[in-house]
Amino acid sequence: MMERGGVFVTTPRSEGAERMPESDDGQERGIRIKGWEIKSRHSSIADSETIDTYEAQLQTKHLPELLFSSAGLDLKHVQSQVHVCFTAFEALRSWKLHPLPPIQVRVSRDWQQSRIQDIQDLGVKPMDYDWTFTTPYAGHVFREGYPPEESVWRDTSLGIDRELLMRRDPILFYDEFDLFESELDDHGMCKLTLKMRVMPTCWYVLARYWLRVDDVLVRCYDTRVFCALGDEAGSGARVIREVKQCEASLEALSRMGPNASINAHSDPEKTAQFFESIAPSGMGYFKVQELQL
Amino acid sequence: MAGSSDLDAWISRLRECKLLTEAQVRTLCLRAIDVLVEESNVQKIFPPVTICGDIHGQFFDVLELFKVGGDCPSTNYLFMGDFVDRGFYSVETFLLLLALKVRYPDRIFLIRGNHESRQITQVYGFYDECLRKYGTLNVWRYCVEVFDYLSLAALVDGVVLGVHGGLSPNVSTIDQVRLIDRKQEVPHEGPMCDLLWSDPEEMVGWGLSPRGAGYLFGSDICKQFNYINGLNFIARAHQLVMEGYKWMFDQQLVTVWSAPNYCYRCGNVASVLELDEQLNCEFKVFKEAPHELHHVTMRKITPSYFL
Repeated sequence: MMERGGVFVTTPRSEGAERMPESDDGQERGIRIKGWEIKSRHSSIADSETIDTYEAQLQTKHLPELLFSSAGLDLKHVQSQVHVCFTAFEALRSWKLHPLPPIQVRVSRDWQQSRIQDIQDLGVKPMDYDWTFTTPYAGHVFREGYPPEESVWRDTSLGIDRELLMRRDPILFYDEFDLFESELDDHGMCKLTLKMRVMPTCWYVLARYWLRVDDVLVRCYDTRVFCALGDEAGSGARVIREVKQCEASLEALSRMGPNASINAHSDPEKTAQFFESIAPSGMGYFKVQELQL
Repeated sequence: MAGSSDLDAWISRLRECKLLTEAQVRTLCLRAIDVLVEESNVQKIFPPVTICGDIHGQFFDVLELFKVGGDCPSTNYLFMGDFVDRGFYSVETFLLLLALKVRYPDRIFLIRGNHESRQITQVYGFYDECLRKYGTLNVWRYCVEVFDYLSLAALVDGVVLGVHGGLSPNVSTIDQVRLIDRKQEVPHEGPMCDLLWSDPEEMVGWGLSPRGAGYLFGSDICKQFNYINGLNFIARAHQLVMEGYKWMFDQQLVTVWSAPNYCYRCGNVASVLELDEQLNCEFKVFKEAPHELHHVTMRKITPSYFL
């Protein structure tokens, strides 16, 4: 029923890479290349028990309906024992740690106006949490045997080597899957998607949080992690992370053209293309950093 | 106007997941309105009856549901809305249920979900599906006209209330639901909106959704409503539950979900709630039909040079 873990495109051995053994459940696959062990894991949606655990650990009663709790990426630099990881749990932990004020849906004013008396008389309690699960999560990093560090990413003037990424080098290992998704009770959609490709000279990850609140706004938070591979032992590898957060409200869209429509943003790619086309407007945050291996 | 032999032919066709012509859809919808307009806002149903939650255009799963729960008309059915949107076969799914309704009006009951609305279907799939399958919007127009006539709730043997979403502060007795003028697009104000949109929440009293629209009702609200109206419990749909059903508030409310592997990737099971003559509850849990599976394999990962 579920798709299995990532796909191998080219026989890895030919490029000095090798497949790692598949996990027993067949959901995890991986590749060894130039001092890195890169694993991706797919999962079905969380069951009630897992949801209870998440709710307790995150101290929330509200989680995305589609929570791919065991899915994730783990990219390990063997020499330094440093892992670059992406999981739903950590993404939602960032959501809880960086709370945004709740967005009001388009009809909220009318809805509340027509019920103003009831809301007062009944002492209706307004819920106050970010129901869009907007997360600034840009992956997490740890070194085996050490507590998590904050300072592993340093600002850099280097950028991601886009020329290298544009080259049609063979893709040795590829994957894409979601960490979570919510239909926002029919007020839009949000999801956190991962894409990863491994090539003979680099690996590359795109983590994209995407949100559409119908008739209100779109958001696209992209984290790109790029690694220029080093020698066979992993020496000389450089990992660059680029974080970009974009947002546009219907009002902002309307200023740009007469046919502005939030609801035309039916998938993350459309929104990402849209922000590219209007850049740099819409962009609220941009940062490039290098990982200290 | 179509006779029952026409109807039977349409039902057979729809069961094969084949489309009716635009003219046939028009006739079917007009006939359906004739049937639905006579129905009360709160349908009176006698047990045994099998209660179903959201379907969302997952046509082959509805066939699976009929396999698990028994075919219509030999089994009585209550569908609690959200027939359309999300899935690939909203047109076939809704029209099959509607044709069965017209053919066996006392055997199958359809109440309205929040997706049975002009506004929502334009965003979540049904509108686009009609346009794609027919090339015009006529079928969508006929169907949304029917939506306005769907009942808002159902009462089984006077003691089990079926409703799509939940309670409204403006409705403390079931009689108040009977007074609503339902023949309209789902409004933003008033109890009709609440019945289709509100959610139960583990809390006390009433809550306002953080979205700024939509009520949440706590256990005390639900228990009080059930007590005043002499209900055993409330059956509702509207929210995905992984195990197909979920009791809340000391079995005063149950959420029933009938779309297995929702959106072809949630991996959840679905259920229907069978109430026998003595109102004993039995949940029949089922998985997605094999036919729906090929949509998942269609989503095969294709490597791309994404930037």
